[in-house]
Amino acid sequence: MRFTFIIKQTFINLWTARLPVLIAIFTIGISLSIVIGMGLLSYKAFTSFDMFQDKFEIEVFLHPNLTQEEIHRLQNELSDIHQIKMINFISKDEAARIFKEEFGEDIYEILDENPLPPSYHIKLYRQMTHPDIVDNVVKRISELQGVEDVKYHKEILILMEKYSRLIILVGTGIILALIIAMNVLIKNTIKLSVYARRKQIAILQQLGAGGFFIRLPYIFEGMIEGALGGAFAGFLLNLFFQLINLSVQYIFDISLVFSSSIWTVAIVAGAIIGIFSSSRAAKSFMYLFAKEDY
Amino acid sequence: MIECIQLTVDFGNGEGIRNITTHFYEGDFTLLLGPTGCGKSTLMRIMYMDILPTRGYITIRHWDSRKISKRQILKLRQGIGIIFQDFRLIENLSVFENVALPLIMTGQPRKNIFERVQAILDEIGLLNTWHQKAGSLSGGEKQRVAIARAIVKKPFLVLADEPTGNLDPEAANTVFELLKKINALGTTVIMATHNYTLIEDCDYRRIYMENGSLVDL
Repeated sequence: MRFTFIIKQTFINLWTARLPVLIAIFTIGISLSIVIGMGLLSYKAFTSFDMFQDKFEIEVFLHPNLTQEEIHRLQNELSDIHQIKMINFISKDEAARIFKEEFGEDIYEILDENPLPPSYHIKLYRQMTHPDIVDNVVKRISELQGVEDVKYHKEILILMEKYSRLIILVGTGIILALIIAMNVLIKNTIKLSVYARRKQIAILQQLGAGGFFIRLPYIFEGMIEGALGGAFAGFLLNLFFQLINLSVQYIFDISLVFSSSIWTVAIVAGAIIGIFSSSRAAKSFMYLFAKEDY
Repeated sequence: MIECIQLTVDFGNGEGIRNITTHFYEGDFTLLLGPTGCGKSTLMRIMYMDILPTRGYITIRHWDSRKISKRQILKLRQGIGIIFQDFRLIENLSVFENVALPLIMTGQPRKNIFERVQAILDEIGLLNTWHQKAGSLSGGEKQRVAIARAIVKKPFLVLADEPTGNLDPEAANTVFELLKKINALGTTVIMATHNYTLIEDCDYRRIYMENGSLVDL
């Protein structure tokens, strides 16, 4: 019966303050959709950079006339560079095979000879892929005897490093600001609710009701507001994904998949923010307002 | 059972109570008399520890104002039925819910709550109004509901602070009769009033207050 009473009180509170509650749900929905959108973007940036780091290679092209002995010596010298994780030798024949695989043409049929130089494909340790470190490694490799040219995607590396950090930083900033905004919003609706029911709270206190019994309807109220805001955020994100897909799928052959787990994350996150904000608000305001009245 | 020793509450504006030393005995009906603003309500509020004395102390059964915790205050209040002049019902709840509130918040089983509330409402003659919102009742009915709420948890003490202040003579008489009946069943009742007509024929113990102090007459 206690639980039924608390649930009933929760819905009475929600119904009494329906306009502020509705405003809170919409605002939480919009904020939460931005928060989750930014979160997904930051995550995507992070995983893309991570994948790029994983696949990042330096190609070291050798003089075509190097002897086996010289190639072997060069490999030893490369092994001494501690930033290097893996060295893969690509002979002239192997280069021709790769060329055929990638372009569908046999290099011998086009040019009657194989101009492709032998090369080393080098992978660095993940933590050594910072542009400055890569630059140093490339400089060291370039100075080795027998190396003709060193190539790597320098611009992409710099862009990835710069923008992934920026996206993560800006994303975290926006997420934090919006979480604080949602917290303030829920706190304010609970404040209104507590103020509207200050006499009832004072009566319950006089009857000997415990703080938790008094606060619980407000905590449930915050939880419901947050969860409904989360559901609305899920709806907005779904809509956003569909719009993006409609506009880009004719240009690029890609589509964003709206996973149902985004709904779950949005609802759970909204509910958690709601519980946290409302329990703090109810605790601080209930004594303040109740004392004012009686 | 209730011991007040040099009780003093200073609100800082000249109001409050000063050096009250008295006893209230188990099973008694005590009338707290005096003009408006003489400190009757303050003394009552100290009894359910809504305010704690600035000096002196009060003991109610095993609870002592000098060392009582917030949790113990709630326990104390669960054993006291309080009736106010302005009823203090939750107006958007039904009569049943208002009366059942003290039992609901202590987690009593649903069956017990229904039986107990039904019996009390029957006793005070308001069984037919159990589904009505408390806000829709008359003053006299509201005060009877407040009394029902005060006694539903079988308190050891009932504090009635000007319970007839907002009522017409007939309703006031009904409320007073109900309080007498509660006392006759063994519950200690302390009633603050300045309605001398209502109490002129009864021989209950009377305590007089004036300007925050007890007065010997």
